[in-house]
Amino acid sequence: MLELRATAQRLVAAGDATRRRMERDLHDGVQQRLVTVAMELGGVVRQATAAGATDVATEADTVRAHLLEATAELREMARGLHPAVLTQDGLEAAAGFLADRSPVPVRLTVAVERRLPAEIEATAYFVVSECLTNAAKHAAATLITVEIRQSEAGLTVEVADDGCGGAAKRPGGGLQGLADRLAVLDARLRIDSASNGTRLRTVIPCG
Amino acid sequence: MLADDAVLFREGLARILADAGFTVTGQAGDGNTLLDLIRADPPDVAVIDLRMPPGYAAEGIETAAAIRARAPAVGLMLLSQYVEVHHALRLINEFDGGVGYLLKDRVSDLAAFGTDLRRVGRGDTVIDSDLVARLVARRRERDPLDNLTDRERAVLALMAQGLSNVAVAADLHLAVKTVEAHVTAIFTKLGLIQHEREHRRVLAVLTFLRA
Repeated sequence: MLELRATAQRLVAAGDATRRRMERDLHDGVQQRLVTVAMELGGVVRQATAAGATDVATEADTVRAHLLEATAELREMARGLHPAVLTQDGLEAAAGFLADRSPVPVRLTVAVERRLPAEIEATAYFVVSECLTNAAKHAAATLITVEIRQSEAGLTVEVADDGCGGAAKRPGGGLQGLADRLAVLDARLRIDSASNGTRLRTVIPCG
Repeated sequence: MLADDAVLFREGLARILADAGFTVTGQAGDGNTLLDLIRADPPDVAVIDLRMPPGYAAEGIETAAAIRARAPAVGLMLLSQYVEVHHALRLINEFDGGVGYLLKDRVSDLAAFGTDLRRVGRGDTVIDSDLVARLVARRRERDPLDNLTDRERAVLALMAQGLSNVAVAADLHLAVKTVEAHVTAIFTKLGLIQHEREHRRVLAVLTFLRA
């Protein structure tokens, strides 16, 4: 059993490392190239304007706008793979970003004193991300409370909403995926979901 | 002066800035090289990539802090593929003006980017419009922004980007006096203290939007 758990932990860590590397590659590679091309297009717009070719300038500027839209989409994809802000600045900043973008208001409390191992931070991040998405998409919640606290028992992550409930682990579903990921870190996902709201809670041991 | 480890982007930027009438006095691939260049010949503005070697984290901010300590007159424009609120707050808090924080995408609109560079060179604060839009759109419980009119929201967003009343007026095609009235109304409605200096004002507004 111990050996199996160690194998599973290595698999999760390797998966995370791959996602981090892919994000880095996108950031330093494709994204950088696209932004450079957009900049060159900006130069074309300028030249065309200077030469009095207004039509060409307008058209090139439209192409530039489309290119920037594609770049923005790619940026979001890279962020979904692995948020650079998590690696660089830790859980509080990354959770703050998720809360800022939530379509449902979020009351966020983060009490984490120090940086934790990457797989723990990433797992906590994905728990919050998935739960915020569920609360907005399926539960019609009007307020979500997120608490992330570090204590001797480990890292507690709790997400509660006032929505219509219905959260459950389903094969292949997001919550099942989270539960599997948490199990590897020796943590359980507790789900209390009723018609007056959903509360998801886990404590991840931090050694 | 420019610092970015992505050579193609950096050289492209140098070229279009030169076309637009700027003089690019030096280029570097990392923060330390840039610092050496700046010590030898301080420019009006340094354009710095946020994420550079060795750690590819937020080295650009450390470089900017080192430049400010050694050559306080140099304006600092930080560019990044992502704009993060906590970086913006840190830049505004730690640097007393003369600082900008924009998405890299912005350089493709050279006229606007040139204006922003000049503003940073003059000591103004420039914050990316995407970041401000994200904060203004943020859903809150009992949202105090609900009390603002659409026009006041538009003024608030431009203030948060670092625009002065005169610049806000130009952007929205309003009289400066009208903008001043809007600003007073916004600060009253949000319970904020008005600051004379734009830099302090940006900090007050962004901190409020974040809270």
